[in-house]
Amino acid sequence: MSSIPDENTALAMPRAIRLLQKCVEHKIQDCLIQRLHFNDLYVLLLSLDIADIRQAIHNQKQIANRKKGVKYRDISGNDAVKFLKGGGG
Amino acid sequence: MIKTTLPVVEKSINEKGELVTVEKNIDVTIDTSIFAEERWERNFPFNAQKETLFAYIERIRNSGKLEDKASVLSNLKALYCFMEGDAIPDFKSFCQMFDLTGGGYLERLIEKIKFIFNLVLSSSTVSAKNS
Repeated sequence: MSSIPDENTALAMPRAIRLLQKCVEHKIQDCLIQRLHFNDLYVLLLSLDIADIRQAIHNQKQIANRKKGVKYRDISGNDAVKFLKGGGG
Repeated sequence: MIKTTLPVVEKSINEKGELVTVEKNIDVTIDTSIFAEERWERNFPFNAQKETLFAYIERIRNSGKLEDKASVLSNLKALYCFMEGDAIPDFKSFCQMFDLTGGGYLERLIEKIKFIFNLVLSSSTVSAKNS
């Protein structure tokens, strides 16, 4: 989990409470928490955390590029093909 | 929530002063949500320190200890955490519902525990080995 501190340094907080905390953070609905199998909920939280980390890395890269004065644009696959063929971009 | 039955034993003394043992099935509801994990941590913190409830039953199943009569009490611990409802107030009263002395009843109980654990693990779309 991204924002969960290391087991050795963290307060002795039960795993279930930490997961519920994550559910609140990711705004997972109550009915989903109650109905989802524990493993499925765990995987859902992990995948949301991974998505958050990817987004954070992406944002940091953009900030670093802006500081260097490099223009950075997200393009689709079609745009990339167009650019390589010399038809735009 | 999965509804199933659990074989339990009721012991009483009749008018003649004899011990009468009656075996019956009670309706139980199996909860596989995060609240089962919460019950595991609340009731068995020593076990919960090492692994999650689902990782525990997956390990027990893979090691073939589900059929082991010596592991029935450990398996009852896990089973208790899946039980939802007010009918079973604590682990002590849950254990008192069973007769662990052996015989055909114990075989049936072990079979039922095995069935419930397999059901619980198969109702997930992912494996617990990495949790």
